[in-house]
Amino acid sequence: MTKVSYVYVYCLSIMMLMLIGLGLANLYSAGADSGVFATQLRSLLVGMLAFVIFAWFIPLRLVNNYAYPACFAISLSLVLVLMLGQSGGGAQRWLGVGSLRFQPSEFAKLTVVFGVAKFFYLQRSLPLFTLSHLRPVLLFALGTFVLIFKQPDFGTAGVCLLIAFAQLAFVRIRIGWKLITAILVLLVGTAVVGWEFFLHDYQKLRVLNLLDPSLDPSGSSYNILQSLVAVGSGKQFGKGFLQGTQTQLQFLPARHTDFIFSVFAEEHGFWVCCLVFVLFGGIALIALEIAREARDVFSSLVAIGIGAFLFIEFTINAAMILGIFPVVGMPMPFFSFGGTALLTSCVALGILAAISRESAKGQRKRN
Amino acid sequence: MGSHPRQDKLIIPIRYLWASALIIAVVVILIIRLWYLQIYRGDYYRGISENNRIRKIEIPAPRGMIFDRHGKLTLGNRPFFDLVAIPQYLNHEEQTLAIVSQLLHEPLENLTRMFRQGQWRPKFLPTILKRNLSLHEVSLIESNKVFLPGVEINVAPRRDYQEDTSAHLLGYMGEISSEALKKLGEEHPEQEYLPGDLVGKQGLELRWEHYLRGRRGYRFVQVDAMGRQSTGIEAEQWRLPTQEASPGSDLNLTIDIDLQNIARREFQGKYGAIVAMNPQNGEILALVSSPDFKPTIYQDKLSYDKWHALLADPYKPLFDKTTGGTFAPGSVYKPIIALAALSEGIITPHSTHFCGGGMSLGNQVFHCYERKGHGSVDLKRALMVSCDVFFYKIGLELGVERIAKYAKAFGLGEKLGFQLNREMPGLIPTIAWKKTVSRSPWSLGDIPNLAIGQGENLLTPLQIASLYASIANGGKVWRPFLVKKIISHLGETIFEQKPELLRAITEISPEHFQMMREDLMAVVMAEGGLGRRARVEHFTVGGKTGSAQVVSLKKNRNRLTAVSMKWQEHALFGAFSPADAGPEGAEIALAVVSENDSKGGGAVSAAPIAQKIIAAYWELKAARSKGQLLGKLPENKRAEGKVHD
Repeated sequence: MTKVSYVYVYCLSIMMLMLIGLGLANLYSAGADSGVFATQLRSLLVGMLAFVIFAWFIPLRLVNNYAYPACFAISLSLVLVLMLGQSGGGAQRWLGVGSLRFQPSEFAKLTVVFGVAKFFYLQRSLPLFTLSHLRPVLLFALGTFVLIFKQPDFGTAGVCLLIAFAQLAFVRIRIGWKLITAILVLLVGTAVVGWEFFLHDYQKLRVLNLLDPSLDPSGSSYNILQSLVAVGSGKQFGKGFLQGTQTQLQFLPARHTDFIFSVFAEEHGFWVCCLVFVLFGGIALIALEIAREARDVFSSLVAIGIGAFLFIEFTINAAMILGIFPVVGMPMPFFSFGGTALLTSCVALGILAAISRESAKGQRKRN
Repeated sequence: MGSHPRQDKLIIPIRYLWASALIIAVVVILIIRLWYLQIYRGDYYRGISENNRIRKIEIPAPRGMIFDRHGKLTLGNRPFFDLVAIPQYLNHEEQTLAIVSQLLHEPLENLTRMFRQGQWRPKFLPTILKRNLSLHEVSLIESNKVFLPGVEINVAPRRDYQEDTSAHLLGYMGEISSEALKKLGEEHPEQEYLPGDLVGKQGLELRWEHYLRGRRGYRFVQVDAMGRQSTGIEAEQWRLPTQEASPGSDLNLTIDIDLQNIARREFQGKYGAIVAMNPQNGEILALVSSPDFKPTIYQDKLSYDKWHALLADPYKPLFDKTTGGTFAPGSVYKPIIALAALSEGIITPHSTHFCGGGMSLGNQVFHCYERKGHGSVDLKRALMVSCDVFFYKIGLELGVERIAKYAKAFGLGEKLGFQLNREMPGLIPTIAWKKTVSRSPWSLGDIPNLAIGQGENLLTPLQIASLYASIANGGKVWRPFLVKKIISHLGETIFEQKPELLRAITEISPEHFQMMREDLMAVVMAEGGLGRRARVEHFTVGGKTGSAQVVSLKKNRNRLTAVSMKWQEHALFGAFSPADAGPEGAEIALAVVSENDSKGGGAVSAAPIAQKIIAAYWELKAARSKGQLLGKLPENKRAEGKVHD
């Protein structure tokens, strides 16, 4: 019985290791001559450690208890980043403590997951939620969105909002006309206001560019073109490790970050890419199963949120490099260069494993 | 394996099913799209990638130009030729570089080092091998181009330095350092700093780098295997991006370049600094530091020998003395002591002290520079003849703290916020300062020296000019500034400097300032005044001479100069003009500091230079109002002079 219950933990660990291995090798190919690979390797050690700690050593109760303080701390550091960024005069996403630097907006994805889950956990006795009940949690999600959007980092901000919506979609909320209109107004309003006042010209171009790639003369269609050429030229089996001409001749923009998966597709081809797609889909499905079997509302919603976080990032990035989504700054989990993002993904999977473990333990007790 | 009963109330179980279906659908859609790109259209894209020879051609941005206060071009650009290599087409790297090395008589390791610097960049981007080729070198390369695949000549606009360029003021351009690359790249990512870029390293070029730089543009062209332009990608309705270069913004200075050049010329052969400013708003009119250097040598590849020669030069040609040189002000400091004594009621304009050529204090004797003595002197007379004993006596009554209080009222002892070339704060010694640097407190015997501007007092030439500006304008301390306006290449004003009042001196009454202006005018204009060599025609001048002893040898560690030279006095002169037009009438305030100039101190060495600059100021002004100089103005649409045509 025990063996069966732990199956998800093992699955997750193996899938994560596969993704990390592929991602790391791919990063080596994308940036063999720069220091990117070594830096990522270092971040990876921290990430694996975090995975193990969160999966086996930190009880969920602790995560539950510290959910709100974590939300508060990250929100505070987002404000801090914004203030420092304004004095610095450019886009600011980093916060430094001594020689350590991290991106609070990456951790914000997790705190959104915790915040929403904790909110419903505390309100779990309510039979039905209406819009007025949801007001605090909506405000929290929107606030996080605005803080990150202002950096400006549209991609991460959007993911935070989408994660919250994904979690809300599972909750029994009275679907009145009021709520539907509210959400519609909110979405359309955000879109219109954002387009008119907040989106930078380059961001607008990226959206328009998707509709008509020949429209934009100043660069982003060039990026998409190069990405499509890279992906397409990979064909069935790819050009081989370190053999991608698009990559090695450095035609690809942002090879280490947003367009990292184009490198992968060029060098490894259709079948290996399919494997990666299936792995991400598999993690998301497992997250749902774990949520279904979880002990309490908090664990369920956290599992849903984590699954949504990884899958949404993967989907948007993949759709972007395949030319069916506008170019937004969005890392591919486990593939893109970035220590904070890697750490966040590892912690997320660690917590997912912990949820699965604890529900298995609970079952064993009942049996 | 049932779900927990508690969560069912809140979470709708059927949604798990929907979500799973959604996930599977998304993955399937992505795989279909991937199949379309990689399998269905795979051959097509493979074809493009194999012929993907896109060349990104850099369009350099001309740096912003610098104009003086009358719109006269002070620093512009002209085209320079650079030798570049494009790694993608450089098939036999070593062989090609060796040929270049032989053609240009350039050591191979230099070329290789430059080539390696660009290694991490995309292979189709040109890397600079050698800057600023002569026309002869250009023709050598062009005629041998057949043997040099991947080597080309790029044209880039660069600084066009004239013979009389003021190096410290304008600064110079140099190759970006790796630290600067990191810092500037983070601060201004939109400006795209790359290794090998030239950036401002000193003076205005450094201070206003962000505005002057502009942004480089790009043009992409597709080329075939032979390097010829081709149109594979355009045919598919992908338009290759271009980005126009946007030139840097132009600076409009407060400097009068004619006055600046006259000051430079008159100061030739002397070491030190000249600062001229408008006392009514803090605009700097001229800023000269001597000796200087030729900024051209930096734009070219600077040889290490030349660099070390400049660094080792005992007169520090790289160092800007106007803001960074600190000098004991000597008698130039005396007006502060006088104003302090007047304000504290220690003396009246009519009170006199007797100068017998010296004053004894304890077992020390403090001499007046005039050993014969000046007899009984009042304040005006004491300033005119620069009697030391008079100031020893009132200095002793004032004490260290009260002297410092009035010096600090003028903004001395701290930076004026000029933000050019490492401005120094100078030093106004106080009791607290003495405690921090030495265990012994002030002794009475230290004070007489402080009262005549010697001892620990240190001022920069900029501060001396500011001090005389404040006396001239009746107690206003303006923040000195150099750039009036910055105009973008689109003709928009993107920065405008308004005069900034740092402080209004309330410690000293307007009447005392008026009296001080009259007394300083007497120093120059009255019979028997030491500053008489600063007199100009038609206008009144107020000023004070100063001769600062270079007391300690320790400060002059540089053994390269003759010790005797280093022992010689600094000659100083602080002045303003006109001196009889009230606080609103003064138009120019001036500081002249001539180092180790012993030909008779400030009265003989510095005052004549001040005279020439003030005379030039009035002559230029008269000529401009008559329109005589307009013909000399270069063609420049923004020139104010054009309006009169």
